[in-house]
Amino acid sequence: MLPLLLTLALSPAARAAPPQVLVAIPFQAATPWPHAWHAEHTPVHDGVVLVLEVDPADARPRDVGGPVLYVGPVPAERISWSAQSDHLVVVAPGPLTPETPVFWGPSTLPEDVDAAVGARAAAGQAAVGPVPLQAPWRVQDQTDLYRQLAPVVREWVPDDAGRVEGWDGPTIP
Amino acid sequence: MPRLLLLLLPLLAACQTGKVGGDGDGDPDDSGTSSPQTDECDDAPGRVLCQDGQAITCDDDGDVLSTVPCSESEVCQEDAGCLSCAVSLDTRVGSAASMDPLVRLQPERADVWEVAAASMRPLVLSADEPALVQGGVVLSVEGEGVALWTEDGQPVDLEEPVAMADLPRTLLVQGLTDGAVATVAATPAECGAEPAALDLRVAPWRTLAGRSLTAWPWLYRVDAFTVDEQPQVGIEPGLHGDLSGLSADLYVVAHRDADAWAADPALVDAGDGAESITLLGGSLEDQRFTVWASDLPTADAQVGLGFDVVLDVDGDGQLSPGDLFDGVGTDAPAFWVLGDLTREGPHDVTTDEYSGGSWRGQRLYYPSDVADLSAASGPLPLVVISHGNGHDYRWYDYLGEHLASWGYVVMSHQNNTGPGIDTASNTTLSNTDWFLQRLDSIADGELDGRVDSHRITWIGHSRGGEGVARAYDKIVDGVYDPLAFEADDIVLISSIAPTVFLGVTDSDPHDTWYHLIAGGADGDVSGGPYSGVVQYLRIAEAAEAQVAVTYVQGASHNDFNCCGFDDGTGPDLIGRTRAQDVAKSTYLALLEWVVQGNPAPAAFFRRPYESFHDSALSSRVIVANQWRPDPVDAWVIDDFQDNTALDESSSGGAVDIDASDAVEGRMDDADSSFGWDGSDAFNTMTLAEDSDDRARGLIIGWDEGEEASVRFEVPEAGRDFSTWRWLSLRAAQTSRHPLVMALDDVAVFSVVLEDGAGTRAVMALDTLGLSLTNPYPRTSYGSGFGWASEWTTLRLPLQDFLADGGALDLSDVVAVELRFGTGSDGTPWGDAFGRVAVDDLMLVED
Repeated sequence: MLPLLLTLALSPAARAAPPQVLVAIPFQAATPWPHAWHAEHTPVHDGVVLVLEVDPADARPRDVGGPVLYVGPVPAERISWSAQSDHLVVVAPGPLTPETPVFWGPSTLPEDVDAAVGARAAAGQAAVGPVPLQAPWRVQDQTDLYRQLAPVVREWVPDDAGRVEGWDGPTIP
Repeated sequence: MPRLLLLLLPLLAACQTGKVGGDGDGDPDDSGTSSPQTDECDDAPGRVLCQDGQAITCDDDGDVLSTVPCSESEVCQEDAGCLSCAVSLDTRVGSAASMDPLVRLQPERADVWEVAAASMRPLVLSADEPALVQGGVVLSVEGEGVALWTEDGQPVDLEEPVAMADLPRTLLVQGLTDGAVATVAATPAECGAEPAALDLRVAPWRTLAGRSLTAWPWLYRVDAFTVDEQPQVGIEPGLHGDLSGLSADLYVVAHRDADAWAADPALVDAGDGAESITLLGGSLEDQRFTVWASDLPTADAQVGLGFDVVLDVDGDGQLSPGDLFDGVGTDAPAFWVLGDLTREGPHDVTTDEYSGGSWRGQRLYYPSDVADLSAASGPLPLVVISHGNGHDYRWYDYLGEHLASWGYVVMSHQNNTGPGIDTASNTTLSNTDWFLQRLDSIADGELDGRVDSHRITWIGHSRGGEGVARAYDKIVDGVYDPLAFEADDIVLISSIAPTVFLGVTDSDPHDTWYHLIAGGADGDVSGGPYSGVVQYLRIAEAAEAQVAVTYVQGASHNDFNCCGFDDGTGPDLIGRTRAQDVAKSTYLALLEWVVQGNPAPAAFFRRPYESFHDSALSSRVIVANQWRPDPVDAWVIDDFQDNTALDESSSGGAVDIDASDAVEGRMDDADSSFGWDGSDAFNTMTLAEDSDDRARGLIIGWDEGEEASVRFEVPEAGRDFSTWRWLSLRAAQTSRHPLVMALDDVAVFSVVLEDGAGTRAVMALDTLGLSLTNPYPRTSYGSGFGWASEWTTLRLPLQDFLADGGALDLSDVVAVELRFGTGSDGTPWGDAFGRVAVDDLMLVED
């Protein structure tokens, strides 16, 4: 009952316009990390960085929930959080093919999305179509990926420049 | 043979044979050769001799001048004659004393003799005839409940007479048993004088400080004031009638511990000098005294200053036996004066920022003099801030800098809230662990060894606010095993407008101290009817130990950070500055109280905001606040959790309800609307949602011209209210109900206590300045105005029910009544109409 109420009350997913892919950068990781945006925490060995054009109303981050951005049947990791920007940077595990749908799914917590929920959400969604892929990145681990993501966020979502300030700086081991 | 002895030998021989010419004093008998006549005075010229109960006065010639038999109440004392052997007992009372001298029960922890002695009543035992040094006095005590001590701290041995030669002597009477009546008697030994006797009564220690009221009970006995208040001291004529007519100096002195008082008992007034007062008797209304006419003092480096009150009864300028005092030598002063807690603290703040890799970005705030501070008082408590979804860890400078300036180490971390609460909670856990393990590297190691890993506070916002409860639950349930701390090290959890995605079984604060702050105008985690996810009060309901809730009308979700988008929804928005002032004051007060163990600011949580709050906060701010003690520190009359029938309380007593609208049940709004249509008795109640939520309570409604009442019979086991300090309950107006909207104001009612003899004492909330908030008039989700029901904890000092000689027997209270509306005899119990929810009726000590 509760998830249904949530969906009805909170989710504008049914009305959300599909995001448009502006940039796609494949990457491979030497050391995988668990994908926290999925119930199964599947290890991320490779994936794609996407810069999307979105309706800011769909992408506005809220605590109670909002539409979940899927790339295929798996929620993508959100990297930028601007409430005003019409650009959104995400990281999606796995390859991006022309058949992969990129869409806003129903409101829920991504960590609750398992294979079955993801499959249901993705069913019937439109494929993204041909997307030009940039030169792939090779990253050591998730921290290294964030380091490389920092300039992308600064370029596309300047509102979030402060948020990624420390990502490409030195770290304390 | 020595020459002197040779000379005396003939004389000694003559004496033995009586062949000496008289006694040589020229008496008529001093002639002839027969044996001379002698008398008692022969060898005692000018003296008074005692013989067979007679006083024989000798003249200077050694002749008997007079012989006087002493009376039964006299004894003959050599060189003095017949002297009265009567003794008296005196304890200082006023010229218009109307009662027997009062011996107060000792205050707690009076284990330093000088302070213990000061709490006793001095008793001066003296002889009517000061010259009498002969004989003794036997002391006795009739009745139980008092003990006699010497001034130097030795118990008086009643078997051993007190020598008359030692009089006058001061004895100290200690009260041991509440309500005891005793008679101390002093009986002269070997003399027929009537014993001296003095009746004494023993009564509890009653506090002296409070807030003046315009009607009975005349004084609201509280122990905290803000700088702009004028504390009053009330001397109860009904209790201290023995002092009537007395003039004495009233001191307000800086609070000191017992050892300090023992070392220096001098009374030094902390204000404009001691005030000379005269106790006129009559009513408490006439025996209230303002102790500080000018602004109260505060110290820049402290949140509050403690003061004691001393009425210097004997006028010696020192704390001494018989003085009337409050706070002296105990842990708690007579009253606290609390300053502006929104102001910057005494320490400069150093800020640092660093990263330990993905989801390990942290911003750090700490006192720049952390080395000196920790050297002086030990490692500093740690505050961890876990932000909400779409928020940033750098958005809490206002709070980090504020708390650091008051001596806390504050670490705000990147929080992975996007995936959900479980992930966020892991981020809180791992960041706390990582921080504590890297203190040798962070901030160039300046904090190494200077952070107290056993005093950790977690503050989370929104998803982070649920995440901190979830994180604690994971440790308690053994799901997560931190390396650098354990569950008991988390001494306080506070959630700012938390979500409740996981329900209260998983996001469970368990037995740690839990606080929640939220805004009525929150446009995100709104507290609204449409989802249990936004009904954050559920987490507070699940907490098992102490709980405080700070509900801020007109504050929005992102008012509590610097930079989140404006989601304010509703009228009278107070804005970020005012909301953050509330947060700064609230968190400083909370940390000082819960983490540092400083009780001074506790009153900000225990008393309704409307009645008492930080005076620096804007007058536009309205807060509904709750505080619930750890259940082990209370005696619950009815929390409605057990014995769920309307006619039985959870403690097993009968409940008699007389109201046209009364319903008991789970505080769960049943639908997704706040509009009132009569079908949902618990409309706008957001304490429960899932089956795991247990919060139950009672709702009472009354219309114009009606009287409503709820009478809780107190089971025998709980009838002694005298051992408790407060009667506490929480209540809320039921928002959106037509009667509540028609009232559109704060709500009040009355509380009645009845003892076994049928004596009743009625306390009207508004007399004490207590009320239930007028619900925040936010609209939407149904017709009408008013948002989720706002709960307020109401605490009534039990002592106040005895004010002005009230005859209620607090040791035998058989019933507590809540009365609403207008009585059939026209008695106004409170508002003429209204509808309120009540819960957690209990007795509380703190």
